[in-house]
Amino acid sequence: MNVEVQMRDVAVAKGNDNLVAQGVGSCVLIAIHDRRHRIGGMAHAVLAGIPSRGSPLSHGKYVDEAIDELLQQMARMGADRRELQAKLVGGANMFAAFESNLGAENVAGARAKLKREDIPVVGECVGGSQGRSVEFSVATGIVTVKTKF
Amino acid sequence: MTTEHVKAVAISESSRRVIVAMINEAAANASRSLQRLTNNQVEVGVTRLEVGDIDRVLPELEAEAMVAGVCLQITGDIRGWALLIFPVELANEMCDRLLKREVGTTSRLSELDKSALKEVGNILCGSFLTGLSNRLKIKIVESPPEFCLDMFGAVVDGVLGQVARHAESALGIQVAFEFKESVVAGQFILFFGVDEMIAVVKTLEEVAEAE
Repeated sequence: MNVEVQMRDVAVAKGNDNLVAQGVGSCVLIAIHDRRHRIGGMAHAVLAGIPSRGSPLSHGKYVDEAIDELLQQMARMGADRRELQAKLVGGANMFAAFESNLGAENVAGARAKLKREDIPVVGECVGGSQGRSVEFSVATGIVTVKTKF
Repeated sequence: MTTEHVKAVAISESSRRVIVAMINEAAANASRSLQRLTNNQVEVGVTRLEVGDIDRVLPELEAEAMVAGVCLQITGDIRGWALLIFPVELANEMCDRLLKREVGTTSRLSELDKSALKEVGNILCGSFLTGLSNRLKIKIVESPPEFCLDMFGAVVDGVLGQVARHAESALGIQVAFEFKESVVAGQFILFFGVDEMIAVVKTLEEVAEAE
């Protein structure tokens, strides 16, 4: 079964499910995998850092809280913290003249948060100026990235 | 978005009607410009105005659908973003019309075609914002247009990210431009953040009082 992870969503799955996200631009996808237990989770975050004001409905919008939420959900599903490995996808700069490069900030924010959580980043497909679609196989941990041009 | 945010930026029915009328007027101006440019009859479709989550105003397109996007930043007395979206088939057709080629010639956009589409965005957005600026009597400045050809989801998330960075909640306005001889429509989307929305509503109320 494919579980769609839309913008601002966090989702976890087990066994033979795939986590998918379509048309990702400057957002960053954080895919975390516990290979031994075949548990995977993916967060689709819009902005780096943490929110400047309280917002109970914004889980997944910011990188830090998206990763926190993802780790909690994976732990509840039975993932072993010591087994976790992460892959990052996205962070493109779709419109070069914007005053800030959100994509690069999102990727840097995700790397920093994962480092603080002591979760190794074992693969990345980030940056550039192209959108990406992603399929994360929870059974194997393989992340397939598709671009269109 | 918290409930408090929604309450703080709630706009009255009368203000909403004024905004929609103003948008329709500005859209009619813009569509006349587009009609002159493309020599194709253009009709302004349904205007949607949404207050709240920034992604509620987006057109219903597949996330992987290929689109041409032209984006402009808005500064001055209000801050926002304008995004013009054409499904790739319409973008190709528009380029044929703009560059006086037989419709159906273009299958891949050249640099010249992209420049032409940016110019469409410039004119359309300029015409629209001039209408808004005159009506509200405020200064609105638009940036040079930026072009992007990619999946719909990727094109809009870059813009939504910029909006989300400045505002949890936004005023989103969507106007569909339907071309008489085309089967697909273009979309013009404007985003203003919470603070900008308050400024717009306040100005509108002043305008309404003056009338």
